[in-house]
Amino acid sequence: MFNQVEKIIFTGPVGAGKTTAIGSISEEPPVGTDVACTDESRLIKDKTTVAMDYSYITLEEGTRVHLYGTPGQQRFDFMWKILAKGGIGLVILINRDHPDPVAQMEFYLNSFDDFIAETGAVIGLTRSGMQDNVDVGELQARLFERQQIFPVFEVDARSSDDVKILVQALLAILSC
Amino acid sequence: MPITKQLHISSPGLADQDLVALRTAVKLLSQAGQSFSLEEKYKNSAHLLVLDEESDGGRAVLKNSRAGQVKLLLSSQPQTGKNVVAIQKPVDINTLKNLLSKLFVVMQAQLLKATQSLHADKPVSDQSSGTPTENMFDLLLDIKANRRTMEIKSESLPTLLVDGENRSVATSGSMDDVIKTVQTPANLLRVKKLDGETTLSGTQQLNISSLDTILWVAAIECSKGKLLPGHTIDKPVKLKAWPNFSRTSFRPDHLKLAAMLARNPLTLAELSQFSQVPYDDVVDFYNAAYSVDLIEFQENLEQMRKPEQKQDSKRLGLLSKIAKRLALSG
Ligand SMILES: Nc1nc2c(ncn2[C@@H]2O[C@H](COP(=O)(O)OP(=O)(O)OP(=O)(O)O)[C@@H](O)[C@H]2O)c(=O)[nH]1
Ligand SMILES: [Mg+2]
Repeated sequence: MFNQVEKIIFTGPVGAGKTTAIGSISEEPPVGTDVACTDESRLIKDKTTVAMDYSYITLEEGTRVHLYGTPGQQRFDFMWKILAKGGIGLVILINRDHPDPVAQMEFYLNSFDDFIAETGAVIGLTRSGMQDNVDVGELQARLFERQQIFPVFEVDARSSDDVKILVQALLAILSC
Repeated sequence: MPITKQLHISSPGLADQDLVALRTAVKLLSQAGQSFSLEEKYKNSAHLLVLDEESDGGRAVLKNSRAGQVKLLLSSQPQTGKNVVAIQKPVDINTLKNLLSKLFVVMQAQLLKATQSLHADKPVSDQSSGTPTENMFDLLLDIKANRRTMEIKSESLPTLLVDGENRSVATSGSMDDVIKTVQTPANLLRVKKLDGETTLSGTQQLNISSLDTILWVAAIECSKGKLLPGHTIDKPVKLKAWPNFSRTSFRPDHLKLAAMLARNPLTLAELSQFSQVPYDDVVDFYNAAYSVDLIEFQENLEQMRKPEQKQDSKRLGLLSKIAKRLALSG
């Protein structure tokens, strides 16, 4: 029958850098379903991912680890649970120029509650230096209140090292 | 490793139209390469306070703010003063933008200028602070604890201006220069106290980073397995938050140590045993985490501990293969 599929899930709001982050560490550009934005997210960016992003990395003995990005627009959220099922862990990206980054982080933590309880999560704060509406410390404080001491790293989704550190931290959590 | 040059603005209690003007000006300047962050709450640590002089809230903040903090006042009768710049209400976006742009340049240079008006150099060990400072870690910890403002110089490296009040470090050098300074033995460092009030002038570009970022580096570089005085290896501790590893230097084992200490309270002896990380490295990590306020002491240990998770070896093998595949380039 089927081998178990190993996958890491990237999630976060529209324009947080999910497609970019997957592209930064994967072996091929993400196969996406990016389309021109037609609704309210047009104000934020020209292209958005409908359905999902997909790419992969290959381990030395040939196993593929699949990288999936959820569509950012919340009208696609019915797909999140389906996508996450059986995943290794969750990478939540929050763009620092979002009007309410703390609420966004909580929204994704709550949405993936069961999945996170079984696995683990890391938070990447992207798009620094444009309109920094939050500090790493504020996200950390909220995580502390929730007693979910997950990593929060400032990352540039375009930098492969930044995205790798996030995933490395996720792996460290899952290994202990 | 980039150092931020962002200027932090706090603008509590502005009227809606003034806030819109401020946001727009900041956005335009950011697009032009002058990076600001804007917080509508009052932040004591902000570099610049923007206040409406004629609102109750604005006046209250003004009264309680630090004298050394630079303020931009919106007023119908603008008057400037020491560390105070004023702008006519109703605010014109272009005027505001130009003023902020000037402040940006001037404030980046503020700390550097301060170096010229100061006392004679003294080696670290001659300091009258009362705290023994054997290395940069001790020194920075003392600056943070006592909110001092100091200039630190090491032969042929750019000067560091350390502000314990605002918890920032300014230098014209790069992060690599900062690391070299941190590695310098204390007897080769020159430190001097800076005056609280400094004049705004000059144009040299400065890189500003948080004191905690530098403290972290200093702890890792200087601790050499020596636990901070007064700390013990048999008291359970937990991590309150993860360090921002993407923007600070770390050793590969630190991820493991952070993951374990974020999950369960452990003594340092246990942490070393369970993680199989050498004790000296555990201590360096602990000193660093403590100095940047990430450590929480735990009393009710047994109640707090989560059950050990059974990890199957096949899964651990997979996770470590992924980690190997995604090894950092540096
Ligand atoms: N400066 C900067 N730009 C970024 C960063 N991350 C992403 N971007 C840019 O932000 C834009 C949005 O990134 P995407 O990767 O398309 O975001 P997404 O999360 O896939 O968005 P949706 O598919 O709409 O949900 C792109 O133009 C990226 O180049 C970052 O960390 N810093
Ligand atoms: Mg996308």
